[in-house]
Amino acid sequence: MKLNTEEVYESPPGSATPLHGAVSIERNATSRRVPGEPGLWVFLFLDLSAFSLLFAAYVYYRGQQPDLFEKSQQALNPVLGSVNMFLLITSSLLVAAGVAGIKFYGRNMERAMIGGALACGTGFSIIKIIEYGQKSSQGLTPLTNDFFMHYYVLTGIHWIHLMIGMGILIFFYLRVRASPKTSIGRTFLEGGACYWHMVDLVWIVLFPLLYLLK
Amino acid sequence: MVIVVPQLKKQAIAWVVLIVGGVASWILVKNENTAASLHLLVAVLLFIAFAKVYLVGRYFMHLNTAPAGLHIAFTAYVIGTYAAVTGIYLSA
Repeated sequence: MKLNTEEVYESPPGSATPLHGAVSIERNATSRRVPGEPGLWVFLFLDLSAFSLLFAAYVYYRGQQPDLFEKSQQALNPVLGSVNMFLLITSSLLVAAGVAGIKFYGRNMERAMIGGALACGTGFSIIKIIEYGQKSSQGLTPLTNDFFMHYYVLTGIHWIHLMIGMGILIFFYLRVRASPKTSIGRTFLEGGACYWHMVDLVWIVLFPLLYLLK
Repeated sequence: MVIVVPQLKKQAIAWVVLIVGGVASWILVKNENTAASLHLLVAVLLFIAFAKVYLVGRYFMHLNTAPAGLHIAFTAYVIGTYAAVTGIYLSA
């Protein structure tokens, strides 16, 4: 049977482990649904809009003092920023695989993927601590100048979002480990995953703005 | 029995494209001295970034299977933010 729409495999009723006898169900335009739940997307758009204002404000103030921002940017380490980018993009893939895992491959797959995403988030945090430590040891603080004020505020707010996201992932991981045969709810899982992806996409914009923009 | 999940395949491909986009950004910035225009370089750099944002939304956040209104709203956000940030930079 040729499918021209998204193909979805549903596990047989009652199966909670790697499924057998999967049945292919055609998903057409009328069966589209909101990932997570609508209320979550209201929050996500509001949060993203706030970040958009911060991005615009940074670029505006950069335009007011281009030489200061250009010179101060030299103190940043784009290699560390790139590693963080790689970690977050990879963690997003792992979270997405974890969401797919709970539906198609069972709890062990989900735990492994979310554990991997948590490891990536931990790596990001370690690098962030190293970066902040290096800056402060050089006497570069939020009070140094406008560039570093923006740098610390933007990356700090993002880091807080990341730690909230890690808290959500830890909750998912522990719930699955404690109750391997129960469902934690596809809506909740997808919603938490969407929040984590939002953290990822904010860094995708922050990195070039702070580290690469000329 | 191994089941290949089409959505995971698309997400893996999106991951590869995201990594390639990151490498492309690096190459772009490293070659800034040979760039015809710094403004054009930055516009392309930010375009790559926001294209990556769209990919994350479409494939990781499942907007490709979400109601059209949600997909359109997210796309409008990406385009609007890119336009605003790039416009402010170019007008400086």
